[in-house]
Amino acid sequence: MPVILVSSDAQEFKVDKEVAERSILIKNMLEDVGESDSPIPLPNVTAAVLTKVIEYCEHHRNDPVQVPDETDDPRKRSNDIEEWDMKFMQVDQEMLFEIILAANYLDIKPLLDVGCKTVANIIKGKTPEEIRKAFNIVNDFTPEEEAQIKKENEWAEDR
Amino acid sequence: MPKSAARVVFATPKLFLSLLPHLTPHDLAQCLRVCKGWLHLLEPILWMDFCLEEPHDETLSDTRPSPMKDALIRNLPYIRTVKCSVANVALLQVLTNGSSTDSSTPCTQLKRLEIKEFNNTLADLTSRYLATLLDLNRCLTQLELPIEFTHAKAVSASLSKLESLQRLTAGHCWGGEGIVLLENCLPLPSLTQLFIDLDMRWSYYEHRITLETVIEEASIARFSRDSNAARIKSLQLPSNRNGDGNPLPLLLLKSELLDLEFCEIPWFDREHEPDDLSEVAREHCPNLKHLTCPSFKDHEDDGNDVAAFIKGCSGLRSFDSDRFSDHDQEGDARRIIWTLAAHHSDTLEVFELTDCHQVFSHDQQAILSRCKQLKRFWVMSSTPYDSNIGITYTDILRGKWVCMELTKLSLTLNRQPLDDDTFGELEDEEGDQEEEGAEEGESAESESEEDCELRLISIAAKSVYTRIGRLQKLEVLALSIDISQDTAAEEKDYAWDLTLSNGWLGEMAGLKNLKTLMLHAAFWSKMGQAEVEFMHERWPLLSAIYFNGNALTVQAQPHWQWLRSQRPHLLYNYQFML
Repeated sequence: MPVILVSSDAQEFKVDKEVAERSILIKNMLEDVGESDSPIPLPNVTAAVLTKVIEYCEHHRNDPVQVPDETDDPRKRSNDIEEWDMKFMQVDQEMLFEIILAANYLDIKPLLDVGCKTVANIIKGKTPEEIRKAFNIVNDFTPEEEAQIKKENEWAEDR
Repeated sequence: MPKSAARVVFATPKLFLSLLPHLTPHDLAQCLRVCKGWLHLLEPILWMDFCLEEPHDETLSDTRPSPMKDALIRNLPYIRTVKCSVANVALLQVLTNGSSTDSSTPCTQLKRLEIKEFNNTLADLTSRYLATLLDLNRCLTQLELPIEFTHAKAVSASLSKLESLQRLTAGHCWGGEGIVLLENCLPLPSLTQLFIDLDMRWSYYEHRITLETVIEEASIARFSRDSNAARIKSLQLPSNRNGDGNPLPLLLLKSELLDLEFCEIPWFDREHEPDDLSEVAREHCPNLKHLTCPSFKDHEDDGNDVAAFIKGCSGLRSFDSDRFSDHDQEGDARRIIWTLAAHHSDTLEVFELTDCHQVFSHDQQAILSRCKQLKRFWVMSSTPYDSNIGITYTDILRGKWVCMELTKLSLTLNRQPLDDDTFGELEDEEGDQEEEGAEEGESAESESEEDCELRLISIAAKSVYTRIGRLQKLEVLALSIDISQDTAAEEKDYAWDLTLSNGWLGEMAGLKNLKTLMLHAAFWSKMGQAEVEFMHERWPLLSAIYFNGNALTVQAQPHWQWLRSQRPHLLYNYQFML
């Protein structure tokens, strides 16, 4: 039975239940409400973002539930993004962060992970100035303060 | 929207923090300097794992105030891990005192402490600080210390109170001092991993009785409080030889303190028969699933012990070694690896010899053709000219590979002249395939013996690459060639193997999951645009290529640059040995 989701800008989306249930939030809602065809409002997600999120859930509708592998060092896995996911994440930066927020709100752990990895990959190998540029962040340090912080954490520089 | 989504994400600690596991300490240190908000949130996180190595360790020793020292003191409450290469008195002082000038608290939340080397200057003072640090941090779960510290009474007393300690690593120690260490650590109720390099070679008779008592008392101490207390699951007692022997391994293995899952096979003393070892493994190590083989030097007898131990285990899942060399003579009864393939073929998942010197071809084939569960097969050497680790086409063609689950494979190929059996089989096979007409038959008759052999080798090579190509789950593939003195083949003989026109790259089109490719220079020198286009098309997940050879050559070749332009995330790496 399809489920109707309503975005913050009042657009309706009809999706299969199993797709919608990729979101733990929606899954729990459906369990609480029981059989009902009333639409589910998602006031934190715009139609544009919801379209992307549904696209992700459709593609991953049959994925098994994630089992975290504790033995793996997450640092070694950071580049491990599936090809489809990587292409899926090739969106403008505003959308990338919107997807992360939506994944967090809707509680879709694998999507949140992919989003975080994508952002981490943007940060990797960059200097502070390049990071600021990448995310449009204003530098509120004086040059002296910045130099001081660099000295304080020098031990971490070559690790 | 008033705020950008990025700003919201970076301002939500939960979300920001979930980015961090994917960053290195270096990246984190860059993030700290981005802006005040980031600094505030990230500084404690960076300092959770504090690592002090050269040349930065000098910064602390200086009596003048240093920015790093200030930051260290400020972050003491957050530190969970401390690693340092040399025992550093200044560091230990700061960790235990906070700062003598203000009221900051010392470090009390340590989970993990690793000190690699002992420093003779100020040894007493260092030991005192260390003892204090251990007393302040009873919640420690992992500790690595140079053995010299454990002489100090204060340190060994503090050590014996670490009720949460799960893993202890201590360096090389001699008889008496080692026994003191064991006396202190064996009763610890949480200890499940013990890595010590205990050298008993000159003190065998002197200490045997004491050792027995220590082990017995430790068992009583552990199990009297709680009969279900943890047992030691992981054991590494690096092997010493050239002495009277070391009674510890057998005594420990037989004690109820152990219920091993991981073990580096120790060097046993000479007071037993190999069959006894099989018996000990069978009786006392029923849950042992992961074996590490110690490095071998010139002790051929050791092969018997290791093989006997392997025989006694049941259902081994992994076997690895970082310096393996088989000392059997070709033609002798084969021991270690053969035994492994014969006894554990149903369960073995990992076979990894990361830097080996001699591994027989037929033994490698035995593993590949028997172990159905095998996920990783890794045989590699850092000294290829001096090693004998090739697998011959003849051996590969002797039997089917059953390891369809393989995700990681490293092979050193050897295209030696085929022996008579394989020769015959291949000729038959070829006969089946090419019964086409008299014309070809005639030309085959007229070909010289040398040409005929080359033709057969190339048929064999095709089968070998086809076989690799069938391993559909493969994610990492490393191919090297046997260039040891014993082999007649040269680098140039393999040069066309991985081309499309004159080789068999096409046979590997099915490796859809391939992520990492590591190639000996012989394999990529003749590759060109057609080959990289093939890789781009057939191997969608390929994300790293390791080139053994000259980096400049790769950088100068336009087809490799083309591939990278198609896949900006593709990593090229040049610094590794095959």
